[in-house]
Amino acid sequence: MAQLPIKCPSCQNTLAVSELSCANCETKISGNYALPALMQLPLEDQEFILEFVLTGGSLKKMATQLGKSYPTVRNKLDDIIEQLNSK
Amino acid sequence: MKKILFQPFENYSEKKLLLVGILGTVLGSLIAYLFQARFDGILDVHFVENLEWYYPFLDNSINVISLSLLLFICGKIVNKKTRLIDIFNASLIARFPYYLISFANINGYMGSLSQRLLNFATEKPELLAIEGTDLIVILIFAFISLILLIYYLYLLYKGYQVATNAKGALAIILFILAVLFAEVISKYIIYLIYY
Repeated sequence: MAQLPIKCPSCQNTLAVSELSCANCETKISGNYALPALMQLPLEDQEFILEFVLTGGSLKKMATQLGKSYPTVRNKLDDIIEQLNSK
Repeated sequence: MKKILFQPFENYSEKKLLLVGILGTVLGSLIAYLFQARFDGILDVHFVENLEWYYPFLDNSINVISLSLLLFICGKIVNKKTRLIDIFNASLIARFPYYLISFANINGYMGSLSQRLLNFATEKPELLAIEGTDLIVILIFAFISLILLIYYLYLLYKGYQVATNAKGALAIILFILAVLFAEVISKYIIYLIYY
């Protein structure tokens, strides 16, 4: 599946959603919707958050599953929190 | 292999690192005893003539504890989430390359060479008996020791970086200060115990 673009290729501004469509009946909705903060993160970080939620918020479990050390996983989460706070 | 040599702190659990760290330190101390090496300071290695079996173990314990405490204090300043176990593991494992320097004293060669140099530099210049091959050996030893020292500090910084999520100049400055203070403190404690 193609990665959702979040930055404008011309001016690097954050993109907004201007059209949504139904894959079943092809109904289209036009408007101006801001991308949620989580959607503005790189795909890798979004997957990390998904994994974090699925493990019940246990960094220890995540570290074991990913084959990484505990501080490495904790640092990754701290970096994502920092990115979200800066949005 | 790259993970083991250059990124051990990113990829292994604290329990594995602690076990390997303790075993490696015991082995390093044993090698130091066999080859008459003293690690009398976190950045020091000296070859001596008489060595009790427990000296290298005590030296290395003091070095690891001094290094851990100083780095932990700096780590807490950089990031409040820093854990002592991660810093302790970094201090244990980063020293492994340094323990290899003990092998330079096979048959007491390096010890006797440094003693001859000391005699020349101090009160007995007439005793200088350094040949061309000795000078080459000294140069090779100095070069290898420097590489091992750089590798030791590299591993230590990587461990500190992972433990503290260190970024920016402040974290680097605190790391350098911690290493320097740990050197002074470890040296002082070892001096107090033995002299």
